[in-house]
Amino acid sequence: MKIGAFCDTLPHGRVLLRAEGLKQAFGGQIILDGLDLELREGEVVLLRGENGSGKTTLLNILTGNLEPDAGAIHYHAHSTPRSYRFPRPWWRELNPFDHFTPEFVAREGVRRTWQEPRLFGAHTLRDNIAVAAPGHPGENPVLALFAPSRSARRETELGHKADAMLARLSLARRQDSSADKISLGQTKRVAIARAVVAGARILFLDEPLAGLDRQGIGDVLELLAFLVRGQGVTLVIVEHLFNQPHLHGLVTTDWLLKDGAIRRTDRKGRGDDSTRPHSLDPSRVSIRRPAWFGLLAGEDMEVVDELLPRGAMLTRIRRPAASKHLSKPVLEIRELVVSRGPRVVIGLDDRGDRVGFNLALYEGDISVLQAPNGWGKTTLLFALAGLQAISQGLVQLRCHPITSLPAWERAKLGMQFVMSDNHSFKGLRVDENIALAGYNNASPGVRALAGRTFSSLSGGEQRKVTLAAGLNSAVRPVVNILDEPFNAFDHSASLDAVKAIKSSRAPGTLLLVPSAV
Amino acid sequence: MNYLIHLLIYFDIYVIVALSLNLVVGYCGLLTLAHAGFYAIGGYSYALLALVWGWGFLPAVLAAVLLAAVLSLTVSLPAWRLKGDFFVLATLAVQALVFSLLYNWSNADAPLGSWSNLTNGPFGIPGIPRPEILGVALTDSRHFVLLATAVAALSAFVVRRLTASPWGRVLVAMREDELAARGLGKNTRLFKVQAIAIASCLTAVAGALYAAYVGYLDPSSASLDESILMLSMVIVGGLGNFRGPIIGALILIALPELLRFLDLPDALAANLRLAIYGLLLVLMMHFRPQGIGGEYRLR
Repeated sequence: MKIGAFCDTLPHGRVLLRAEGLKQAFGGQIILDGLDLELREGEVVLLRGENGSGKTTLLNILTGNLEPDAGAIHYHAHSTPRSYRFPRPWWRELNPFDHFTPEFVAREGVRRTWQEPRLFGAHTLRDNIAVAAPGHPGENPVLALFAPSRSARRETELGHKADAMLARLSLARRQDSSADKISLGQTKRVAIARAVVAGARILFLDEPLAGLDRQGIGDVLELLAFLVRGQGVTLVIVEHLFNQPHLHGLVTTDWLLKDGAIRRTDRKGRGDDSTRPHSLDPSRVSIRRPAWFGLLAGEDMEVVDELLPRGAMLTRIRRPAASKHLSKPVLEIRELVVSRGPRVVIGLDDRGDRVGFNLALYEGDISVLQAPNGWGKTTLLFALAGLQAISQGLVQLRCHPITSLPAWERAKLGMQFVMSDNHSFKGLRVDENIALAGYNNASPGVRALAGRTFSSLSGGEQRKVTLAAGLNSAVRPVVNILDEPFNAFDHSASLDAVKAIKSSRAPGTLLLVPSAV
Repeated sequence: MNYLIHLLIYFDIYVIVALSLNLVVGYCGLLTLAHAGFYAIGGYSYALLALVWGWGFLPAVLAAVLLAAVLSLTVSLPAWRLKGDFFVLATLAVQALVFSLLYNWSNADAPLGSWSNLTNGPFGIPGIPRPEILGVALTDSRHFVLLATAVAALSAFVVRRLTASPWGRVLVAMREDELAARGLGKNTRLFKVQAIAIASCLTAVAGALYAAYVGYLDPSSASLDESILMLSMVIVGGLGNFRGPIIGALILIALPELLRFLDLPDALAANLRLAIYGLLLVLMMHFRPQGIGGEYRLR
C-alpha cells in the first residue's frame, strides 16, 4: 500500500479554517482555554490528546455541533469567507440565514463523520450517497411536484456519480442493497464517501478506523489517500492510540491538544520507509497480534493460537504452569448456533454449514478472540449474556448449564460483561454507576470522576467507568467477557485497563477484538 | 348501491387523511395527534365560507388550505426542537386548543359566522351546501363520489410524486438520523415545516370534502378520538410507504361496517367496536410494529 509518497508533493496552500481564542467549559471544568488553530489546504492533521482532553469537543465546535463559550471561527473554504464570533448576540438568532449549526457550517464545505457510521438505514447505498448532494432541485417540493424533469436530470447525474463512487469502494453491484446489510468497514467507507459527495473541502473524521479489522483499516486508508490525492480534501483525523501508526504515511501535521490549547508540529520525511508503520508492513503480517497484545502477555506467559472458523483466531495467554492441569473449563460453549432473523450469525463453518460454534475457556486463561468485522463478536457476547436468543447449543459456566437462564441470573452466577458500546446509566453520576455495579473499591482514575454525570464524560472516560463497573459487577466473578476493551483509551488508560484485567478476580477472561491481520 | 357509494366517499376522504398523516408520521418520524385539528379547520373554513359568505367550492377550499398551511406552523415550529414524547405532547396541546376553540367560540344570541359566534360551539354547523363545480351542483351522491374520488386520486398522485422525489428522500434521511442529515447540509427545520404544511393542507381538503358531503359539522371532527382513528389507520396499514395508509384506511372504514352485519344489540356494538380497535392496535404493535404494509416502525 503506497499511501505515503504523494503527500510530499502537495503544496500546503491557503488557510481554510482559522479559530481564535476558543473557550469551552462544562460545569466549571475548562476544556478549551483560548485555543487558536489554523488549517491549511492539503493538510492531513492528526488530532491527538489524552482521554478527556477535549478532542471530540473541539470537533463538535469546528463542525457547528456545539457553540463555544467564547472565541471566533473563520471559514475560508469558499470564495466568500464566513466568520462566527462567540458568544453570539441573541438577535443574530432571529436571522434564519445566519445560525451556527451543522447545516450552516456544512455550507462552508465542512463535513464530519462520527465514530459510528450513521448511514441512513432505510436508504439503499446509492441513495445514501445521492441524498448528500447539495443544491438538488428535487429537494424543493414545488419543483419536485411541477418540474420533475429538472429533478430527474440531476438525479441521473447523481446516480452515475454515486455508482462510480461505490465502484471505487468495491461495492459496484451493491448499489441497491440497504445500508444496514454491509460490513462495518464498508459502512464506514460509504459514510466517508457520502461526506465527500456532499461537497466536503474540509473533512473531520472521528475515529475512522475504530472497530475495524485489518482489511477494513486498509480499505479506509486507501479511500482517505484517494480523497487527499484525487479530490483535494483537507482532513482532520481523531484516532485512537493503537490505530495512529496506520495513519503515519498520510498525516502531514500533528495537533496535540493539551491543557485546552493546541501544539502544532509539521511532520517531515513522510513516505520514507523508516517511518512506514509496522502494521502496514507485509513482512510483519504473520505476527497476528493487536498492538496492545504485548502489554497483556508479558514475558513469562505462554501464548497458544487456535484457528477458528470463518477467519477468527483464539489466542490463549496463560502461565506456563497452568497448562499442566487443563482439566477445568470455567466457560464451555458447545455447538452454539445464534441467529438474527433468518440469518445464522454464530455457528457456521467455513463452507457455510451449520455445525455450531465451540469454545472452552480454562481456569487462569486470558483468551483473545480476534475476528473480522461481521463475524458476530457482539452477537456472541449478547448470546452469552442472555440478551440474544440461542437457537441451539449449550453454554456451561463451571459445568452448570446456563443456556436457559435469564441475563440477571447469569450475572449473579459470576459472568461479567463489558460491552463495546458504553452501556451505562447516562443520567446517573459515576459513583452511582459504580455503586450500582456493586463495587466500592474504584481505582484512583475512576474515583477522580466520581461526582460527574456519566453523560458529561468524554468517550475515553466513559470507557474507563464502564470497564471498572463491568469487571467488578459480580460478587464471585467467574468469567469476564469484554468487547473491544481498549477502544478510545490513551496510553496510560490502556495500561490501567490491562492491569485491571490481569488483576481481576475472575479465573477466566475472554476479550473479543477485531482481527489485527 | 347508495350504501356502497357512501362507503366509497368515506374511503376517499380517509385515504387523503391517511396519506397526508403518513408524510408526517411515516416519513418524518414525528408522531402527531393534531391531525384531526387541521381536518376540522378545513371543514369549518369551507362550511363558513360557503354557508355564510356564499363562496364557491374551489375558492373556499383554497382558503381552507391556505389557513391550514399557516396554522401548521403551530406543529412544525415545536418540531424544530422537540422530539419523541415531547413533540407528541406539543401536538396534543395544539389538538386541545383547536378543539376548545371550535367548541367554545359560540354565542346563542349572535348569528352564525359572526365574530362572537364563529363556530356555533357544540351545536355545530348544519346545512352546509353541497359543492357546485362548473355550474353542476353535486347534490346527488353519485355525482359527489366522482369529485371525492378525483380529489383523492389527485392527492395520492401528489403524495406519491413527492415521496418518490429527492425531497422525500431527505425526509427519510432526517427520520433515520437527523444529526447526520444536518451534517450533510440539509436544513431539516425547513423540511419539517414543508412536510407538515403539505400534510395539513391535504387533510384540510379532506375536511372540506367531509363537510360538503355530510352537510353538518360539529367540534367532534376535531376531537382526540378522531386523531387517534387517523393514527390507527397509518399504524395498522403501515408507515413510511405509499400502500400502507391506503390499506389502513380501507381496513378501518370496512371494519365497523362488517361489525354491523354481526347484528349485535346497539348498546353493545359501539363499545365492542372500540374494544376491537384497541385490541387490533395492541396486536399490531406486538406482532407487526411496522403495520400490515409498512416499512418503518415508530421508535
